[in-house]
Amino acid sequence: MEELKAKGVDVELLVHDAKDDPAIQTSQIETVIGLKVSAILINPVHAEAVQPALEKAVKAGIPVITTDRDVANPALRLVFIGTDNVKGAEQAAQKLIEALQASGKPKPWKVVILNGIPGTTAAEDRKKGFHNVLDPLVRDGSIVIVAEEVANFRRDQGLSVTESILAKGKFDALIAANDEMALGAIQAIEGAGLKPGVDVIVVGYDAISDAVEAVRAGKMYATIAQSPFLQGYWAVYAGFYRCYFNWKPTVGWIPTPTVIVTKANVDTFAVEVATPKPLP
Amino acid sequence: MARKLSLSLSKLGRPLRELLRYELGGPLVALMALITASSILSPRFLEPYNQRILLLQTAPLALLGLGESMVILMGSIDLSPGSTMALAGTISAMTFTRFGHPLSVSILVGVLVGLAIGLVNGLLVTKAKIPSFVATLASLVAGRGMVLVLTEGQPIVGLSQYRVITEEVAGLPTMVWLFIAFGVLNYFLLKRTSVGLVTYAIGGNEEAVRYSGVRVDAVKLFNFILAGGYYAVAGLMMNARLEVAYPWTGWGYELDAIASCVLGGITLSGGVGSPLGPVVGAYMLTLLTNILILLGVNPYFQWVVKGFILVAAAAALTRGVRYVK
Repeated sequence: MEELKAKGVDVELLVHDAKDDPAIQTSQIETVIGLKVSAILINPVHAEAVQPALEKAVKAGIPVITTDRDVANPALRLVFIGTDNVKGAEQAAQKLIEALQASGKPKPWKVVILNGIPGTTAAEDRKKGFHNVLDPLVRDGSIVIVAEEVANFRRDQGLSVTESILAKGKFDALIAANDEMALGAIQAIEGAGLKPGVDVIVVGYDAISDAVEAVRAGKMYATIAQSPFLQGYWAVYAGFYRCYFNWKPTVGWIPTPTVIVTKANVDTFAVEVATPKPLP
Repeated sequence: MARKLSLSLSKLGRPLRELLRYELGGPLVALMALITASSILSPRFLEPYNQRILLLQTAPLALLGLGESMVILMGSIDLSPGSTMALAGTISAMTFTRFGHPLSVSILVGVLVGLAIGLVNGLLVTKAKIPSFVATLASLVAGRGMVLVLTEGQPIVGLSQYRVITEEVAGLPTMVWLFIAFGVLNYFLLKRTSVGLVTYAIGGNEEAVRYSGVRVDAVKLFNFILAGGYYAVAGLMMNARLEVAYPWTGWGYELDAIASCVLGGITLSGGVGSPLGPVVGAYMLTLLTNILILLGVNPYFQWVVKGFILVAAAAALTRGVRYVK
């Protein structure tokens, strides 16, 4: 925004917080339509619930750009700017394999997968990404998936589910579809008298602050950071291109990069994900 | 029919017949059947590590079940356990980390929060005359809201001192001793005091109890408050288990608490069931989740199996009842 202003573009940003409530977001969309804004950049709190309001925006000729989360009907938005969760999960799984190789543990490596809430885009995409990397290795016999359970993105369930999996026997690595479940698993691994990071390699996803601390402490091997900064940054540019040059994106979805956070970049990744990059 | 039943039972032997006559008999037989089946199906089941985690996982749920049973025995229902445990855990954690009070004070504050929510529930039911389902539904929603407002959705970290609750004392973690102690306390309260007698009587026929001049509202209020206290203890246990106050602790646990009561032989219409039923029920529910993971059953199918077991248990427990609503 400031960049555009510095270049002499006449722009103004109005910010609304929907507090994750579709009703609030709907009335906010209606309000800004009334203000005749030039573009709406929105993180839809629900894929369907805010669509009627966005339809009104489209009818009023206001371009809509979705970030982070998308709406169900792609015709309602100009472009979606968000993380490629399949790719992020593939990176996470690759990092897990790298760690297993470096650890010198004997093959086949026993791996556990914890999945998120079934049916949510994030859970399904991340599950797919894990399997894209792990399945070929299962086929060639270098890893065995000893358990694949659902812990609903929750820390308490990550704890109790992992405790039960540990009762089946020790395993070498665990990959979770979010950090909360991975942190619960770490708690369970410690409770069983094992050392997370040494006996069991744990990889999470999201890079929440607790997880970053765990990476720093060596308990979590890696987590995946998304780029909320770039999502916002690119969304502003997309809106600007649309309004000034009548830009038409060639793709419906511009994926934002994910960064693997390990002990090596635990102090610098925050800068890395917040560095402006030009819109592809 | 009764003749036939007793005949077939006589073949099973006298001890079992004796056991089934006892009000905790049904659940205990079901529990033994589950334990036997599980130990045959998985050699890992009986290992000390597995039994230990079963007890650890049961403890908070058992506390929720005990609280829930105080309310269900009166023929009411409480939907607030999950939110109450989360709010008690959160405020206790904040007292400890943000305001720097000692652990003992923080634990006390947590319990007081639970008692206070119980008091509100009780007043809504007895004074405002709102049906318990609606009153506690409001607490469920508002309680979770307060947790999210206070934590802004982020876990409160730095609770390693809560480990005293999970540390081992005389071979078992403190929280296991705690739930055994609360089980005994609950048994004494319900079976040996007039409050317990009135609790069962309210569930049986509230009108009759009211006509006989008993202060029904006072007992109701007491039970709701006590239930809130039990939920708070469960919340503190979860703080200790996770070593953070996790804002989604107990999300959906009200249903597990009710299921623990049902599996433990407490009828939802009130007045019938053993004070120790919820403990047995909570253990069964935890055991089910555990054995399904040990056996590597598909996670989606696990829910189907749990549903069937719940129906089977409920069907077994209502045998001989003339009708249900």
